Amino acid sequence: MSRIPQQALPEIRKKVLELAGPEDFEEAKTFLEANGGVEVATIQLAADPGPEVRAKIKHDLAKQGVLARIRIDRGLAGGARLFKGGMLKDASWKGRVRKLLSAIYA
Amino acid sequence: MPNESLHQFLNAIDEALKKVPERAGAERAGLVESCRDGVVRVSGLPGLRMGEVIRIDDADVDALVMEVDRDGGLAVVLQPSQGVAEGQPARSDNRFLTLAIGDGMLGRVVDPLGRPVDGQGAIGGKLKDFPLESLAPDVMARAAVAEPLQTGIVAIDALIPIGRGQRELIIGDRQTGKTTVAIDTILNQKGKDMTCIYVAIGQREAKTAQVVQMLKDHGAMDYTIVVDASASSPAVMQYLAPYAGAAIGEYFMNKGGHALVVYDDLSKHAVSYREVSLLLRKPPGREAYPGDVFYLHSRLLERAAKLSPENGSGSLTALPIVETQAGDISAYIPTNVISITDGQIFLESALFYRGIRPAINVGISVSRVGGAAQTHIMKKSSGTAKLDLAQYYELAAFSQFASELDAATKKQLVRGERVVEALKQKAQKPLALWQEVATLWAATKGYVDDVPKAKVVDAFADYLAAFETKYASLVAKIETGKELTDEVKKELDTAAATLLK
Repeated sequence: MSRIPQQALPEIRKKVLELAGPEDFEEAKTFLEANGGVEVATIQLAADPGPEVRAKIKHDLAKQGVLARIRIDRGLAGGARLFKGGMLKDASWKGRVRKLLSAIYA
Repeated sequence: MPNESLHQFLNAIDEALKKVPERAGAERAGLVESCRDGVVRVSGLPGLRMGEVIRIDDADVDALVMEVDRDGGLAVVLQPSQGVAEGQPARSDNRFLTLAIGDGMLGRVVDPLGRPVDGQGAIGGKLKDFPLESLAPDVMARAAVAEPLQTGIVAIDALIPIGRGQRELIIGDRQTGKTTVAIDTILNQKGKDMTCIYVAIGQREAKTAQVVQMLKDHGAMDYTIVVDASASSPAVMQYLAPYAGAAIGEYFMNKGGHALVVYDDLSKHAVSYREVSLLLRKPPGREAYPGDVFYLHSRLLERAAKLSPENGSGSLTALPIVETQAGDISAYIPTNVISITDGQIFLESALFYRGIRPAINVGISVSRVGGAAQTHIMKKSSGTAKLDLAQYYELAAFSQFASELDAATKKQLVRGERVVEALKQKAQKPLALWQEVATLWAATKGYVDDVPKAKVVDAFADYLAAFETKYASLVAKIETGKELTDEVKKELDTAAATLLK
């Protein structure tokens, strides 16, 4: 594999962060890890938000140097989950119901 | 449901949720990337620790972390893993595997996580959490093994004595009586201030049920706990079972009490660990076992100890069982466990089928520390038994080719045969100390040399029955004094001469 010129690296990183899709996520992650490191975020959504929203999410996170992976999980029954830096923010309906049930049966 | 009603319902849930206290916003969690054969790959959860338990709420299961990497790790699911799916959150609460242990466990059958499996409801009494894996007591916390653990089996107590805090391996082919020796030892602990733990690893449920029933029938469940990880339980549960047994034993040892743990058996334990390791893609080594299979057993058996008086003088004795294939003790696991333990009791198929039961090969069985723990009376009365047997086996082999034998050789053969007969013992019939001493004394001093070989076993049964009634004071003297004084010797001679005429 040819070496990447240092001056081109920031631009390539930006493109990879913004454009990597689910099919080339692992390759993108490996590349970014090898070239300056990367933080990964997984966003689970109950419904497909459409290409524009997807692109906006990826763009906003890419600005923070975060490689975003968007997954659709209808089992969430609404809302979203965000996995980032070993933490989970659960704003899904599934999570809310579980939280309520665990409070009731605690 | 009409939209308006749905909104009302969702609002009601939102309102209810406002009353639930927040758990500091976000929680530490990663993502299940894959689940195959009960092994879960978790990503997005850096800083996972070996042995940590992660929770997968969506599948209502826990998983034990057995391999870590920069971004997460591999964990083995502890419950049936059918509900685990890719994309589910795996929560980390810095929780490690613990076992709720208390005196209420006595008489119960539990799984390796301490949950009762005997259908008798929750375990009562005060329970405290203890880690499944813990460090063995260090050198300074230990004392020398100096108290005997009476098995009630003459051949063992006389020739291969076991001390409290010792690790003595029971090894042999299948169907040679390994479990029987261990169970008889448990039965003999009645009233001896000993808590017993029987760990069934990869056994048939029917066999474990049979063992539990046998213990119940003999009133031994009052001081016994059974840890059951049957053949039908996941490999990870079988892997954890002996550590759970050791943790329970340590609980009693640390209280200043005495505990005996039987691991039945460590061959199956090694197989279950091999299964888990191969699923975790650890490189296979000899016999496909992973490289740390020695450490698997050494860290378990090192937890057996006799504690110093400053640490309460408690003890944890381990009786691991290992099954050999066609008597091959040079296989990987047998050699490992032989080298870890303080001796081994070798059971042989050939002896078993010749009717010598327990089928202990006294020639290659050894106890490395138990001799120091043997009672004075047992040590003295068994003095020549091992020599008699060694000479007998040597002469017996040669005499097969000899046409004529001299009187001295014939006498030695007769004596050896009688000692072999004296060491025969029925299952579930452990002997008291006085019975063992009386038997050994009579056999090694030649009091049964004139009894036909076929009648020696019956002669000893009658002798012991009469001994108890006619020499009750001598019985008391042996049981309490445990010393072979000249007076006791004289009385033993009189009893044997009178009752074995």
